[in-house]
Amino acid sequence: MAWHVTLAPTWFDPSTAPPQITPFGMLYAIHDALVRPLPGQKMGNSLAESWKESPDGKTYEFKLRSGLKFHNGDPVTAEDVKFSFERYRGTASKELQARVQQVEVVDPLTVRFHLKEPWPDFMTFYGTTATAAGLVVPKKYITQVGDEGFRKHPIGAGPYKFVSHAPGVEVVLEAYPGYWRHAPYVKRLVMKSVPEGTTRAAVLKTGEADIAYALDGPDAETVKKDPRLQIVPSKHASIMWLEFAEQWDPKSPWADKRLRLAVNHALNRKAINEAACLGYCPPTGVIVPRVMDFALQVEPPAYDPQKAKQLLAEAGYPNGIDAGELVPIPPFFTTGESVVNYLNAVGIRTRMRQVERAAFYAAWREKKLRGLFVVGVGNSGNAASRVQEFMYSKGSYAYGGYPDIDDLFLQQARERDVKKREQMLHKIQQLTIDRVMYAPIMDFRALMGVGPRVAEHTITWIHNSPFPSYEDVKLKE
Amino acid sequence: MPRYILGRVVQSIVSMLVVSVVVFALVRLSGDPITIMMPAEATQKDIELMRASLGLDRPWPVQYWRFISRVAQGDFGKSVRFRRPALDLIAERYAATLELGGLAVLIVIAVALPVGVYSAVRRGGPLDYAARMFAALGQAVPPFWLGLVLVLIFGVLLHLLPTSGRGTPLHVILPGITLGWFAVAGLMRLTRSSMLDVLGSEYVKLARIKGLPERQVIWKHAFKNAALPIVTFAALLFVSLLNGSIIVETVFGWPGLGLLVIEAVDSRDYPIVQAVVLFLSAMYIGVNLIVDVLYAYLNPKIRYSG
Repeated sequence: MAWHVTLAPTWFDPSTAPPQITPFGMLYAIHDALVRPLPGQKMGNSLAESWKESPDGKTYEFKLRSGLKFHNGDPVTAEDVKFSFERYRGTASKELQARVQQVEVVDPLTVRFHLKEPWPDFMTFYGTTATAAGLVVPKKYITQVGDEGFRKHPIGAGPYKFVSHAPGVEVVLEAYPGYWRHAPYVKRLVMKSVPEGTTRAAVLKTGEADIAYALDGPDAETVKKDPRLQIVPSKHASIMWLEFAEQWDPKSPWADKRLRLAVNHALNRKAINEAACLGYCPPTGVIVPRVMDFALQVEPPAYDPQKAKQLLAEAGYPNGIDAGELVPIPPFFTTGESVVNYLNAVGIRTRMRQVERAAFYAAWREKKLRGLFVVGVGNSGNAASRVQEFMYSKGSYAYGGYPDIDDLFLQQARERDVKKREQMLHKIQQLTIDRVMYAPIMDFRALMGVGPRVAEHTITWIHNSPFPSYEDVKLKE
Repeated sequence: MPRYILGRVVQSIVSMLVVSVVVFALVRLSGDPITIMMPAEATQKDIELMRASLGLDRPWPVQYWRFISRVAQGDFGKSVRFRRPALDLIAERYAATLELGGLAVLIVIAVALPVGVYSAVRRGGPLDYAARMFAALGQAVPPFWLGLVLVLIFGVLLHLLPTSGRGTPLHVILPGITLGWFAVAGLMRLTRSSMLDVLGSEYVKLARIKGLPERQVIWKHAFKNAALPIVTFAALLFVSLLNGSIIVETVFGWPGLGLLVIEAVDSRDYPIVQAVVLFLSAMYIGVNLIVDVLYAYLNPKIRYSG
């Protein structure tokens, strides 16, 4: 398997998982959770045989399958579940710790989570790829070897055992015959870092890799043309949009809604999708991916350059506006170029500036980015978790907000009636459209190249994940 | 001579110190590494604890002093991403870069020297024109483009060579050619011009008048005297090839220092960036020092003017 990124040991340890989907490509190979997305199930019982929520919504009880063992032979127990949860420091850990009062070990196979108050999203955070808090790690082993030792040689209860890691080069895994679902069909997985996209496509064509992750449009096109190979678009919750970071600054031209609407009408989303994504990424009208629960299903604003020019003139820019630099999230430069071209075509004069990945993420999180920038977000959850990060005024990545959206967000977080909750979340999303808070571009589909040896790639089998269901991957005889 | 050498050594140490200050400052000016290292949900307390544990809460001069004292003891810190000593990672990756650089130098020497010499001897002939055209083309083609073209031809179309990673001796061929390509052109031009200078000299004319075989005139008398600038260039070339491997290693997924540093920059793994830059600078400065000393040994005028 040829990866687009470096495989770092931090990804062997769920306790520090960042708010991204990519680490799950490694985590779900080595580790397993009580509840997680399984083939055909958004939230399937995995290490847990069953779970139930108390009538008051304040207690969740999980019953573990009997006879489960970690790769080193230690039994998987309720103590491990409690230890893993309390050790977790990754994304949304503050939220989880604030809401979970206590984890109670009832007996070796039963564990209870006591919440301070009902929290309808508990299982979204604990049982999906929204966080890695539900992955279970071996308490005894980690206590013996420490965190560093664990990252050097991780032990899990997932379908594959860790064999070796050459930093930045490859990770070798071996099928764990005792995996509770079934022993993986492919006995040995070698995950290699191949950062250059064209080379990633080449290793697929030469047969050096069976699956190549995250191919960019032009590289994916060459794969698509080869009759021996196939391109599989992921179906994970990823989306790209254009941010107007300065819209809350009254001195900025972007405070004018007409200008933001002009941007929305200037973008030919269909053509951008064709250029960057071979037509696999459906244009969108809201920044919550359509595959997520509670997502508002809306059409994007029409591509209408005349209307964009008219809105510019109405906003006081009949000769266009100098919009400075546009920074796209790395490595989505093809999308960035397309966006720049369509904006320039209507008189929103901008030029693309590339920055390195770490700098972009740091500046984005520190809210230092200005002007226009294209972002892409692929972590899981539901509409509420996206609202929390990007629309709620106190969100980690929100550059501003509105009191009514904040109120709705806080209300829905307490609402246990699913229908009412959905209405509130839809209302929030509609408000972002009415106020033109963003220029949504497209639901992003990672383009995965699959080679001729693969009989079953399973890339779309895991809900909200672009990675295969590893234990189900089959090679041709 | 000892005074000259001492002066050059002191200059080299000062250069290294300047490099260390520049790399130390640039890494910190490019942003706060803690923002990348810590998860989004980390509390302010967690962030401050991490900052303190890495010594990043102290004033810059204190941080620099701590950094340079540790470097002097061979401790470059721990990689933020790989959680291993930076020096261990460099040692692991250096072998791969050395293998790649070594092959590239062999290719450069095997191609550039004979073609450069022949081109000078047959000046104005068809091969001379062809060689000069090749040299111009060689220096104009960007390595990443050449690398991808070679991958497509020899990997994808002909299925002759592997296209990524390191494993068998075959893996090094394409990245080696790509890395050496640019340098072939440079060394070929230098060899040709050095040979042209020497071929016009009196002692070469004398050797020919004496009736020595042409082969002996060219290789024994002319080339030997033209070799000094070529050897100097080749030594520096090797170090510059190591630096140039950054792009080539990325294209071919070659697990060397170049790929390590690119990934480190991308993830702001500052101990690795500092260590690799210092390591490569030390090599460059070290080779320069050796060349200076050799030059002074071979040419007394240099040591007296220096």
